[in-house]
Amino acid sequence: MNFNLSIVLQVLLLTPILGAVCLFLKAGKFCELRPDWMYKFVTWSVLLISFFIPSALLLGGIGLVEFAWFPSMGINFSFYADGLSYLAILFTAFIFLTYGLLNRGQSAGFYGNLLLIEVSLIGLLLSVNLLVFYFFYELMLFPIFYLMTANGNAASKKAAYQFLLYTLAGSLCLLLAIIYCGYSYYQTQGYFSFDLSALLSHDFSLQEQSYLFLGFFIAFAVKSPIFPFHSWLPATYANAPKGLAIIFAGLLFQAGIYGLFRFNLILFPEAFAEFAPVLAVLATIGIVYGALLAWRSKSIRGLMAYASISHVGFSILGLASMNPSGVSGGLLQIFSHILIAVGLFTIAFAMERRNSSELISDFQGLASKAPVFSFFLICFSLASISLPLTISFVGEFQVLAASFIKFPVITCFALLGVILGAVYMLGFCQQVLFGEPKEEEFKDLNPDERVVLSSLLVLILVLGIFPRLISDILTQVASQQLKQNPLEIFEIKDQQQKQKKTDGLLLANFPIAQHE
Amino acid sequence: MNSSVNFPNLIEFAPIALLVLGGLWSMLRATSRENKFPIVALTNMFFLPTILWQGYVYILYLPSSDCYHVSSILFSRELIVLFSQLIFLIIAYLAALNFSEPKYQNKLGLGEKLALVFFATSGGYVLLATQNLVTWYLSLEILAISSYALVGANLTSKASTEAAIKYLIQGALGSCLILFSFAAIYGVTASFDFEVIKGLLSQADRSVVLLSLGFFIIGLSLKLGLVPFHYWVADVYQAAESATTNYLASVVKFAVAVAGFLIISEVFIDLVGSFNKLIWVIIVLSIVIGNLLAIVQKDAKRMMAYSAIAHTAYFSIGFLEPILKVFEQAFYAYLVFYTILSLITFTAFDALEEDSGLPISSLRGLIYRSPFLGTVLLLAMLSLAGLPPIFFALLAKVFVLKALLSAGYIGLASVILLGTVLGCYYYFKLISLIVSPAEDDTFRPVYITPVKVISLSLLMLTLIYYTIYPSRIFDYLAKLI
Repeated sequence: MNFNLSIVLQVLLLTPILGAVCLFLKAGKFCELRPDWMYKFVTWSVLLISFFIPSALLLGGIGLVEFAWFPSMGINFSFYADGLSYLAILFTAFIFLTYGLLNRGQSAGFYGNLLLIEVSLIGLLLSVNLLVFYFFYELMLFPIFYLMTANGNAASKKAAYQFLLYTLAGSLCLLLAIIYCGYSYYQTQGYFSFDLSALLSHDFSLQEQSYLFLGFFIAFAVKSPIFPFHSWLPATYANAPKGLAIIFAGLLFQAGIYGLFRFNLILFPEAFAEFAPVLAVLATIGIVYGALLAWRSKSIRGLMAYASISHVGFSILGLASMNPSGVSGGLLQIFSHILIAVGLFTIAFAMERRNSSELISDFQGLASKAPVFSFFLICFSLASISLPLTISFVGEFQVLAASFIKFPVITCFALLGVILGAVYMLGFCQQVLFGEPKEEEFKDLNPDERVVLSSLLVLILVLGIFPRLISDILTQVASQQLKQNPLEIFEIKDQQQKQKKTDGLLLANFPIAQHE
Repeated sequence: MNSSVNFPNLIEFAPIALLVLGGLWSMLRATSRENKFPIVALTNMFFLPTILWQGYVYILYLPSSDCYHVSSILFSRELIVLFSQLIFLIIAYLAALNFSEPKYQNKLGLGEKLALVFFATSGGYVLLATQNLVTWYLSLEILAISSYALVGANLTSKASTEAAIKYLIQGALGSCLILFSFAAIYGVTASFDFEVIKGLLSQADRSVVLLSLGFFIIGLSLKLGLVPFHYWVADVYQAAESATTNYLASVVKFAVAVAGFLIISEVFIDLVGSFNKLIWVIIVLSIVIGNLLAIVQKDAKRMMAYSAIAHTAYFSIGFLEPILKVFEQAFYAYLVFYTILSLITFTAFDALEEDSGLPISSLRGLIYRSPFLGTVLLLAMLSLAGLPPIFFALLAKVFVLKALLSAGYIGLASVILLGTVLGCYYYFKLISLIVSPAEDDTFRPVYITPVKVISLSLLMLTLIYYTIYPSRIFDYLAKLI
């Protein structure tokens, strides 16, 4: 059967949109349906449809879909799927599906807005026209604001405003930079274009590149978040109602890193090279600072929020190394973070639902009361501190190996984050699982939670043991986009030593390559 | 010059005649105690033929893109003028429909109010097309004086009277400045005709000409309510009845902005560059102060008044010389977009308002009390904030930013973005009220009349249509200009 990619992508985008519209109609009492069934149906269909992308890519040939939207301004609905966006969409669809399992019986408005977030994430992962990307990038703001305010208390409202204003300030810099890109293209070509393919062939001067880089960077740094643009994150994660932190921590950050890769790194490589040391330093500060704050955090979600700042730092460090191996490691880190953050926040959500407390100190000795819960907590904690055989080990190792070549001193500091990660995660496990059990009852995980957590765990292990399932795709994408051979980084300038050192480094630093 | 009244000439006068006739009929209706003719029928009876007539004239002139004057005293027949007149009549009609709401039926002076709307509309109609300074001034005054009276027409409210006086004094100051400017121009050119003046201004005494243009710009800012000439805006918008506020914020603003833009681009085009700095300062102040003051407001109409100041500043970038010369679409695109949104917002507010003023807390839980009105207002607020899903908003802003970047005003573009962030804060304040669940004691279903449902749906569908096919408006405007 021959799948045309354009049809697959259209169906992929339209399914959640139609689902959201149906749910909103239900919310307005214009039609009758079961909201959670509808949500389940739509998320399952999105997951199934997204499986068709690779076969469509193989069979259909061209991966570009275009509809002229505003031709005189060069704004087209151009969608493109490569390995990276394919994987990201697959993971996104999967997480939305599992979130539906954890939150049954909510209102139609709740599910409708969740689907809107899904649309915006899928849309921005697919779009290669800058303004269309911006459209999807902004589309998620209102649903998030709605979910935070309509279901939350005063604190979550405040957090919602904070999130909103931070993100908006960032994304308006992005808008200005995008318009300037189009204008700069207009100056040489005589017509506007916001298509990535057109802009890639355009030569920006280094000064232009630096300003544009900053415009894009601020937006994505807020979204990721990168130190020092992170201050909205703890409040948002800590106050998100109904376990929404699972979606926020698990999925929203990928928009930032994806953008940094797809636009900053690819469109402005020279400026990126200029800023790479700064980026590496910021990433390292994020890694260490996030880990330190997580260590001192008294609340469960606080710990996990700071831990995710720390983890995102590794992705950024990987991108900053600017070589295919590091970049693909950084991208791999996105997926490992999705799995681990969703798992950990699911556990945190489960703990809060049972004990209605957010403080770590209120939990003690759960190992004897809830063995299944304890098993999962230990597993995800170990995954979080990058134990070998988990996916996070692969990503972190690739990142650190690649960045060590470029920034040896900075990478040494970043390694501190790995150690601190073990300190806070294991400290948390010790506090919660062991010690004298408290009086209150603590029910073990229910079937839904078990299904979600075990499926995540299976993915973490399978991808940790067979990382090439996705790392090959990512390495290919990274080297294609960077127009570099994956092995090129190891070229040493000194010609005489080249052969010897390359062999040595290859063996030491390419555990994945050894499979060959 | 052809002075005999033949068929094409009659066409020019028919809309004005119809509007004035409508005004007279409403006044008659006000004097008779029995046999009240329904207001909505009266509005439709005179507005719809006018719009159709204007549409016919527009199509008539469409094939010939060259402009010519029917008579030197009256109208420009440029396509952009005809097009703005058409839009002006449509929005005036949609705004006038609000006066037929049941809640206004038992109030004093309904007929007079409608008469004033008709007269103001006829004034604005002439203002858009006139090619003569005296007619320009007179039609502006017809528009303005009717508006002062409309603001004060809520006879039971003290605030309304106070606002009318404020509006009158500051509006009169604006008129004075504009009149003084025209007098100075007449002094150096001995003509009121745009074409003649334009030729003579370059040879005239430069200091006098600059003085008159300066007065004109300040007078126009007073009329548009830009900072630091904005003191009347908030009081007037809040104290006037919502239907009146709607008319002022959308229709009057549209007419004055387009007319001011046309006169500057036709007559003062070579001189306005000297005032770029002044205009720049006015725009920046309006964006910053308008948005900042909007944040602290407790009344929704007052909040939207300050937001209107900021949005007026966004399209006023069209008055900057480089943009005036090259990127006129940016001005028209943003103006059209803002006018539609302002109509939607105030029409929705009109359905909610009970006495004068609309505390923002009365928007609480609107989406549950009336899903239709709640959704419409929600989408309008998101669009004003420049966010999806109605992307037309963002495209209009992209146009403005593109124009500014091309003209080298990067600082001003950043100020607009800053203003947008500030703006989002208070728009989202309203949005969060609209979507947050209503407490039981405040839960009152909202009743909307079918007329409102139709007009709001029409406006919303227009926005959605242009979101899907943005080329159809943006490219069309480019062609017209």
